[in-house]
Amino acid sequence: MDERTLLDVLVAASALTLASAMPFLYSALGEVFSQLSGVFNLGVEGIMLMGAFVSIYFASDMGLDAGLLLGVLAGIVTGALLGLVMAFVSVTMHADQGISGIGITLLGRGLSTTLFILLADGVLLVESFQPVRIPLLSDLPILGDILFNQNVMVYGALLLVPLTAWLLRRTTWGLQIRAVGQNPAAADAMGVNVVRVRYSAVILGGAMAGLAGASMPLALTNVFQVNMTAGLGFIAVAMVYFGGWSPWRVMVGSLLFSAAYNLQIWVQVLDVKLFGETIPVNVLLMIPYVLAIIVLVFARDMQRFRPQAMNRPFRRGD
Amino acid sequence: MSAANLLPSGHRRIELTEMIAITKRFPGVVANDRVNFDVRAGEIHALLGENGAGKSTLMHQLGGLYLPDEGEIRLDGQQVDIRSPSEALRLGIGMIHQHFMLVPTLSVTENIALSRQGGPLLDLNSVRDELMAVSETYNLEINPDGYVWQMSLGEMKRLEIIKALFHGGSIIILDEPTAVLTPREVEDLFQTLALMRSRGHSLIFITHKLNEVQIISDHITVMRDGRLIDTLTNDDIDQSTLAHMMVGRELRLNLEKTALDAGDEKLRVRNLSVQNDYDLPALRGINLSVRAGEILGIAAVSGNGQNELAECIAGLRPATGGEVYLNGESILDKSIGDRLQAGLSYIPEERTVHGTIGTFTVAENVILQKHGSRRYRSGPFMNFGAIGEFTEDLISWFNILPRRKEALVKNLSGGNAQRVMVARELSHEPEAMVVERPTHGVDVGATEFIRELMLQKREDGVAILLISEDLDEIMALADRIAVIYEGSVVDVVDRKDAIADKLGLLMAGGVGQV
Repeated sequence: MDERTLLDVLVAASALTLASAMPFLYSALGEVFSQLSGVFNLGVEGIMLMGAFVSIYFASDMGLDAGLLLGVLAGIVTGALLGLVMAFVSVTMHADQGISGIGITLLGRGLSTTLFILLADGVLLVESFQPVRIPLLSDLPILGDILFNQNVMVYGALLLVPLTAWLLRRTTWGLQIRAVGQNPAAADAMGVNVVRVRYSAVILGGAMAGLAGASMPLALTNVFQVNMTAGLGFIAVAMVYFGGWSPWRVMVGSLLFSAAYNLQIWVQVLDVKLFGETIPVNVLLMIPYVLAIIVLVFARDMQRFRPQAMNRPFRRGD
Repeated sequence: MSAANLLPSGHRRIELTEMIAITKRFPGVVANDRVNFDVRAGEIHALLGENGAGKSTLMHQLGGLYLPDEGEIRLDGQQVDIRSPSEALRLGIGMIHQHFMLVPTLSVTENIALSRQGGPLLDLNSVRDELMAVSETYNLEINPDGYVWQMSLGEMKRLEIIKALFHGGSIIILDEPTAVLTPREVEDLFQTLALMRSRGHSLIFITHKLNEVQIISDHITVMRDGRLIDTLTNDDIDQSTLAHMMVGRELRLNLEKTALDAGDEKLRVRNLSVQNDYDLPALRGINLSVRAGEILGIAAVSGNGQNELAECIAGLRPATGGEVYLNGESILDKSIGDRLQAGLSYIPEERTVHGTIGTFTVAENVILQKHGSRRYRSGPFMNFGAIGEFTEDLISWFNILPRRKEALVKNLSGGNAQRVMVARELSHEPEAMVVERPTHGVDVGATEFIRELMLQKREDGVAILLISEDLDEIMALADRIAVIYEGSVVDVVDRKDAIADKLGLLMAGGVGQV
């Protein structure tokens, strides 16, 4: 392979890595809000699947044909509603968060599959968001093609990183979120409404998981498939740990995992051989999951940043 | 409103706080039974009582954590319902809890800013300026950009006080504020309290420490079993009268200690090095020796390696160098079970973490180390008959309340949970004991009981290594005292040559000889 084509392959791989980091970014950044407020939402996977189905069902001409923007909006609303369910069960009813989250994941997976078959006969295609070249910036060598020739949902995901960091650092609401997840009794004593702050964070987290789901069919794959997230929502939850609850480190993690997801494609495209044999696809598909386990083992130092009240329902006077 | 009615912060000063005939019931207990309490501006009012006497419950009602079932609260004659901690804060009542109410991952300024009901954007600079003004007015040194998780317990207590003052706390409730402080920090705290008194705050000081009450308070209210016993002026009341009121019977504050000739060396620590949880050196090659019938007191401020020493001897933490011998035999390679068999017993500092299992019954807790012994099992099954008898013996011997072997340990008071743990550790007739802060957070009755037990064990010829931050306790019990500072033994002195002030200085890293 000559130098020119190798460079092209690398640029294309990088651009794709960035694009497929998008669902990770949306869902993991949303989970940062939720976990920082003290609610461990393991329902991300299910919320993403529902967001994915509802959004493409709204957007596709095989569904309601309401357009891409309404599709995105429907995904967000679906996610927010499931976030509300999670908040009600875990904050108001004081239920165990891990179990509630698993419930929501199972609900989302089952419901999206059933609705997909009932409402859409198992086929949903859409004309997805097209890349938008940013004038001038997209003419930059190499970087232009990687960063500035993506679709709007990718740009949105990237902009959410500094926005999330700013919200958490610089606003009263962000400070309250960080406080109620660490020491809700202290926050309560200072006049912070713990229940309201947790509700808002979990609903926002749900909305962002719904958005993450919408981004998959509408800005990445053009189609809905049963269980199309394939555990990505769980990896997003793990990524929040890996990122030590920091939006910037969560971004690094998202790019890393996205690269691992894409690795198998490029190993096949470039026909990389190991000991003279073609590497079986199933082995390659394992890479991100194995990476997730390895990373979590080494991410134990991040425990210092862990919201101490995560998984603990709050009752005044306990 | 005249300036005389204002606090230095510009907030309104409450002259008189009254709690009238307060009754508060919890399932199965009357925590407060028609209690009257009042406090005036410019007064330090001590609220004295044993654990479970209802002091904190009474103050939690003033602090807005619960509403009273009966009775009323009046501020300057006006009746108020305090429905939440934030409402208490608005009324000018600040409560400094025994457990820190701070968010460790936030900075000092951010912790204070939490209550600001300002706009959506944080204005940390103005909060920082205001908090520094409070810090200067009240002589409370603080780094506004420091993070709480990096602060010492003394600094955290200062921050709690600043927080209460910042929000215009006219009435400030301090729930056992000295429990976690070093003697030096206690002195500083008392100076701050005196300054706050002179500036017109009403201060309520919850405690069970008699000497502190005498030093700092103007008035003393004693509570027992949820009832008010008496309110006194602090002039010439002696400690034993107060103790009698608090406990309801005579206490022997000065323990009798017989002179003993210590026997053979039982426990020996040679050149021992241990690391802490962050893999940093906690002990730097220390040497200690405890003989039969001797109590060696370890005096050290928390975090100087004494906890790691205890854990290493007990087998919870590996040594990085050196040796520990029991009866001349090295025990570092032995398992915890083998160390127990060899006659070592350990009473850990954190009874809820290492000492007892809260969701187990008293019987299950006392049998923890013995469930494998033939006496308490039949084949693979637990022998509940034998276990029950054994537990009942311990319950009456150690006077554990309630007298029910099926009671869950988490429902016991601190003093009784401690008795369960001590009972278990003493029941297997140890030859050497490592005892960490045995009376920490325990009421006076249990404290007296546990100290007497230790002296009795000493007379039975047990070698005891006693680790405590309470210098009075060490002075009362130990035969010799080793001061540890930053992982090294600074000095070892005979009890009869020891002077508390100088020990305190050595514990704080001061140089000089005791």
